[in-house]
Amino acid sequence: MPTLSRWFVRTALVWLGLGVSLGAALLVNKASGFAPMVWTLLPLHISFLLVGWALELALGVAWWLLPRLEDNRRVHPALGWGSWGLLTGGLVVEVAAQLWSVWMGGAGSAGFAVGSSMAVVGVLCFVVAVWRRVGFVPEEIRRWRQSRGGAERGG
Amino acid sequence: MPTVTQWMIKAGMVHLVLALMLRVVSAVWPEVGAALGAVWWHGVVVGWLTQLIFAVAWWMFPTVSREARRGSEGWMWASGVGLNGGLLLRMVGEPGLAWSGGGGLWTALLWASAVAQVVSVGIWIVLMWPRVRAPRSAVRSGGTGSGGGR
Repeated sequence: MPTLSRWFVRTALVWLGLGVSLGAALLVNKASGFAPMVWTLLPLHISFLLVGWALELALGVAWWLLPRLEDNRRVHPALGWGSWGLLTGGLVVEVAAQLWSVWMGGAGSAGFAVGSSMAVVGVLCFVVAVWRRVGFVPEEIRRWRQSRGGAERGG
Repeated sequence: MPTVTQWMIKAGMVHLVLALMLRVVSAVWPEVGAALGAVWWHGVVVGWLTQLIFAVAWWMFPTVSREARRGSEGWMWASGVGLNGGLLLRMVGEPGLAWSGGGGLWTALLWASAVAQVVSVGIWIVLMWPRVRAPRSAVRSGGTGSGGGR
């Protein structure tokens, strides 16, 4: 598994742990009502698990498993790293904005806008980075397929 | 495919069917839907999607070592049982709490559900953490694998 994929997947594991712990706090609060303010963190529970866990895991595994281009290359590594940085950083900004709005009483919408915009740019970086790799067939495989087709026709 | 993976994928499909049935029930009887809360949604996202990821990653991710292979299968079973058990407890506890308006049994069920799911996910993270790694050939040669750092 390449380094970037390891960073994506391990970050996803951290978000999973945080998201599920927060979800458990929400569920227990539903049962016992010990801290109603926990409900204000529901958007973070959703962001942790959808963006942090599911999306970062999917991108990490895609970076690892999508076909590599000529010379065994995973092209545009800078865009890949940029994608990881923007997605993870965007989620951290969202967390800060949410906590700020809960404890300091302000509206966290500006922080949310910044965080979610970072996520959009991060995903765009990833899309550009892997675009050519989707469906790419290496030259040797192409030649092998052609020779097999020829053999089948000949046989 | 390891046995635990087979069981978890099948359990995931059962959760998916159950969750979509609960969704239909919620649409037909809104008062039941209100009592069910987020149960059907968690059935899809946790019971099916997350469980499928857990099972397939356990099967396909790089092994820990030639000797230890995937790691402790017993703990993986514990994780699967915790996840499914926790979700089932929630499926019973959440409507029970809504209909009864509170009560020790339903509160206890939801607490047990929360603890079971957190423990189950924690076990899985600990199991998978060492398996998120460079290919063995790259570790031997001191590099980061083919295209590893790129």
